[in-house]
Amino acid sequence: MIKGQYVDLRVIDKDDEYILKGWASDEEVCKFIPTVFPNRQLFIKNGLLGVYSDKSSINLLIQIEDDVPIGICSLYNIDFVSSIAEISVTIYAKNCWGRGYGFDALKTLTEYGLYEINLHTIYSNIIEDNERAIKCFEKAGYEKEGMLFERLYKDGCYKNLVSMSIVKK
Amino acid sequence: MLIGDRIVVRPVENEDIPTIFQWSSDYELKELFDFRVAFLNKDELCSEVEKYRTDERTIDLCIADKSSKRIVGRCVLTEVDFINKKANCFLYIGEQEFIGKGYGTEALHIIMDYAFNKLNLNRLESYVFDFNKKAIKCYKRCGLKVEGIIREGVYRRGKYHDIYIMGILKCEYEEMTDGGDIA
Repeated sequence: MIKGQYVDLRVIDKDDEYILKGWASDEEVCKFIPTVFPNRQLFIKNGLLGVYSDKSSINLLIQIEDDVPIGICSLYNIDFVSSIAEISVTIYAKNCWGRGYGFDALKTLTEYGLYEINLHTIYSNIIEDNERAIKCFEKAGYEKEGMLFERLYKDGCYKNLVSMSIVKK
Repeated sequence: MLIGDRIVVRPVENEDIPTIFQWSSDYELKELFDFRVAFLNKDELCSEVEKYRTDERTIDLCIADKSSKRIVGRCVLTEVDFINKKANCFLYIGEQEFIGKGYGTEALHIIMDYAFNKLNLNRLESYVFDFNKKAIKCYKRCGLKVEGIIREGVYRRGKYHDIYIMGILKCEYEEMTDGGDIA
C-alpha cells in the first residue's frame, strides 16, 4: 500500500471486481475515459479484472479513510528500457469529486513512479475538454507538451488530446 | 546483433548448442566460473538455453568470430533488473585458440555499450573467483572495480576461495568512453 496525504493506493484483488463493474457502467464517470460506454469489457467474464491484473502495468485502487474505495489509478504502457509510462487516475465515486483526492492520488503515484519504479518520464493524453484534469496535472508538476489532433472518437465526434508529461529532474 | 572489430555478439541459437555443450564439458574452463562443476548432458543444456530464452530477466548471448562466423564464447546477462537498472554479467571465451587474444575484452566493451546505451542500465556487475586471474585482469582493463569480496564463497579443488564482486557504473563507463578510450 502506498500512502498519500488523503488517499491510500492499494492492490486490486478478485473481491474488488463488483466495485469495478459498478463504476465502469456509470456514463457520467466514463465521459472523459477513452473507452466506449458501456464498457465492452463488462461482458467478458473476468474481463475487467483482467485489465487490472495485466503484468505490464501497475493498477491500484484509490481508497480514503475506513478503506472506502473511490477510484483507480494506473501506470501502464510501461517501457522499462526508455523508462517511460502512461498514467491515469479516475475517481469513480462522484460524491468524492472536487475534494482533491484525484490530485493526491496523481501526486502520490507520480512520485512512486519516478522515485521508486525509477521511471524517467510519465505522461498522459487528456481529452481537451477535461479542463479539471488538465489543471490537476499542472498542479502536480506536469507540463503541456503538445496536442494530438482528433485522436479519439468519443460521443459523436473526434476529440483532441492534450499530451502532458513530467520528466525526472 | 552487436558488431565489434573482430567479433559479433548475438543471441544463442539452437545450432550453437553442440559447441556450447563441448565447452560445458571442459573441466578446465568450467571450474573458472561455475559455482558447481556439474556437467550437463545435451538435454539439460537445451533446457537451460530454453529457460534463458524465455526468462525476461536473462539475456543469453554468444560471441562469434566476425570473419569465420564461428562461435568462440558466451555472454549471459542475468538478473536484468529494469527498476534498479542493473544486471549481472558472466562471460567466457570457450575456444582455446581465441583465449588470451583480447576477444573477451572486446566482447565486454560491446556488452557494456549494450547494457548502458541500449538497455539504459546504470550498473553492470560480475562475480569473479579469485583464482580466475585472466578474468580479473580483463575486467579491470575494461574499467570494472573490485567492490567487495565474498569470503570463501566457492569451494574448488579441495579448498575455499574468495569471490570478487566487480562492477562498473554508467557514469564511470561514460567518463571512460568520452576520452575516446574504447576497445
